[in-house]
Amino acid sequence: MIKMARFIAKNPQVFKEGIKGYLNQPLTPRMLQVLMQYINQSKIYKLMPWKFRKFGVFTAGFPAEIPASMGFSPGFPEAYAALTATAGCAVPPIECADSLGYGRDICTYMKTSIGASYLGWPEDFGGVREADAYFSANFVCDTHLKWVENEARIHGKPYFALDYPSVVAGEDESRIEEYIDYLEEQLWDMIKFLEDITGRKFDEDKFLEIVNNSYEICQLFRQLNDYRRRFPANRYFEWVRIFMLPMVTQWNQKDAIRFYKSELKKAQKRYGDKMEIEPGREKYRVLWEGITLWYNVDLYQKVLADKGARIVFEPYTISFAGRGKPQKTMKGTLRQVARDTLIIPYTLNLDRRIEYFNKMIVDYDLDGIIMHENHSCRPSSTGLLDLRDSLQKRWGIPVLMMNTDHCDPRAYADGPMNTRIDGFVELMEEYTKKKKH
Amino acid sequence: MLTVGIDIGSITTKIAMMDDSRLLHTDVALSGYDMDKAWRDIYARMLQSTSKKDSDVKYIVSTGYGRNIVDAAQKKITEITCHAAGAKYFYPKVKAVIDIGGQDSKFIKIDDSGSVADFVMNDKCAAGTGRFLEVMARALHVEIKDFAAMSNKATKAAVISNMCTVFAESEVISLIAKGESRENIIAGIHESIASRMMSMMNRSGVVKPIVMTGGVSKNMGMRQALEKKIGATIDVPEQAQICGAIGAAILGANSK
Repeated sequence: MIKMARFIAKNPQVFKEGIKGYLNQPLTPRMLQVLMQYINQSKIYKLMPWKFRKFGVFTAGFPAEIPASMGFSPGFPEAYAALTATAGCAVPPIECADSLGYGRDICTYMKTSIGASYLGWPEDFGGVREADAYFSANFVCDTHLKWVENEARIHGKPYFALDYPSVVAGEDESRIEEYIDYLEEQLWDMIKFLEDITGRKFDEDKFLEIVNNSYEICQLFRQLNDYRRRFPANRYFEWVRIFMLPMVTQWNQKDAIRFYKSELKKAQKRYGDKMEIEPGREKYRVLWEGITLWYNVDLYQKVLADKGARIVFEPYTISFAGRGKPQKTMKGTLRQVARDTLIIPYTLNLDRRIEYFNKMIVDYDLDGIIMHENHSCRPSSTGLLDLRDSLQKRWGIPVLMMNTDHCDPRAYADGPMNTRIDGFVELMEEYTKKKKH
Repeated sequence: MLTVGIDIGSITTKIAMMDDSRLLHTDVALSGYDMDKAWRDIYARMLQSTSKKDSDVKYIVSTGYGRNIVDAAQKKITEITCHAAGAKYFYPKVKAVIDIGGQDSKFIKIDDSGSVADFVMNDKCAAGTGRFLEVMARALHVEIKDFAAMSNKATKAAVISNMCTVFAESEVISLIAKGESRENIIAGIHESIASRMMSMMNRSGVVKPIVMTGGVSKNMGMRQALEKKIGATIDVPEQAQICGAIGAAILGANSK
């Protein structure tokens, strides 16, 4: 509260804009509650008089179930940065990071987080408070390692990093098993690390319970995701903004299960078992590949929507819904966690990625694809041209390459981008005519 | 049926009037600060010089960056589709269009049915556009219209390695300070734009025959540098700068 009060006193205009930004989002009261609960959990933790629980900083996709079973509540700086960008307040912290010497080519999640923490901003505006320990993994993102290592060094706190092998091309199952051996060994090391820093023995029962909860969350999310073909396609931003948050952050699993169950119940009541697409509901059905432009709710809700283009699916959200069932043994469950975090749509090699997109084009009856060539995320942007070429060759489907950034609105210029979008819509107009014939 | 295409670009506003497939009138004016006034003036001038009335015009299509300010337009179409239609009007067998305008450059691919199959545009950077040439012309104290003739006299194209207009300008100033001839520098500028254009074209895959449109197509040196990179000749219609407006007028006739 003190931190927030200080922030408001120092930055009344940013606060005002931020609140306006938060309220400007298409959220139901329950969604807003989920959002606020997550943002405030580390603040509440700090206010607690006891220290049974600890606060850990994690990078996205990290197997947080293991530290969570030793009492670590997870905080994800990327999620805070995304929230800040959505509220329209990411530029000052990014500029602050620029002035601290972080280069233009560094991920703007990192720069928002570093800048906001340096400025003393609260979590609602991208800052991250001091944690008891720091955890990172380098799958999909290499920035994670040094980012969190620096945070841990600044605060003088313990740090654990997982090294994920890159699944680059054509690995067979025996090679994948070798990768899992390598990861399993590191997961045992992490358990030892946690026992050392907490002075307690690892709680295997708790771990299995948490993994089971993760599995249930992912299953519910997947079932809900199956309704995407039925859901009105104007909910893309809600989907990436809120629906995935409890699953990604895993901070209160019981609440996440309640949330998804209630959303699923609503969907089942409304649509029953009908999962097929309603013909003619959307003029143009578009897949969004890559991270969302968090600061640009208008792009999805107005610019594209006004032209009849709706985002009906994105591989990004489902990438986080891959947790499997816990196995009978601790070893088996660790291997399961290793496999689930090793192979996700963003680590697929090009051939499998093409296969995946071919399926999505049919399953979601797509009229176009927008691929976000993200300045901040080169690993996920590399290979997009090959993917585009292959899809265009097979289907002739229009693909728009959008060269911008997920967190920094300065990388998005309305004028030139609108011409590209209009051109893309004109291509879809021709494509849908041809599809009908 | 009389149709009109109005192409409002960042530097110039172009207009074309067509009677079905017959080109009746074209005109070019500076867009300036008040683009609304620019298109109204050029439209009034067109009516005056063709002795037509506003009511004779059955369909107006606007295009270019300022397309949305033309309130008289029944349809607004991007310059991507319009340049493709314009190029096809002059060269029916065209498969690709290079359009280098004031603030962007585009490579447009056309399918067998004459529709746009794919397009790529320059990133948010002026390098490789008409604006880049303007900045360089200012640094060199040369009129853009003289670029082609001067680049032909170059003995060896200077190397312009920077990818940014502002830094490339500094690079040009350094070359001037080193005593490099203006002719060689201009040839280097053309090569630098051609290289950027080639990288962009390779992203989509080069197909031929190619037509070049947009204001920069008037620069023969630029066209030659591109032809050298591509390894093929490029057709440039006489009305290359007005191709977008002509395409818009043609699409207007098709829309009716």
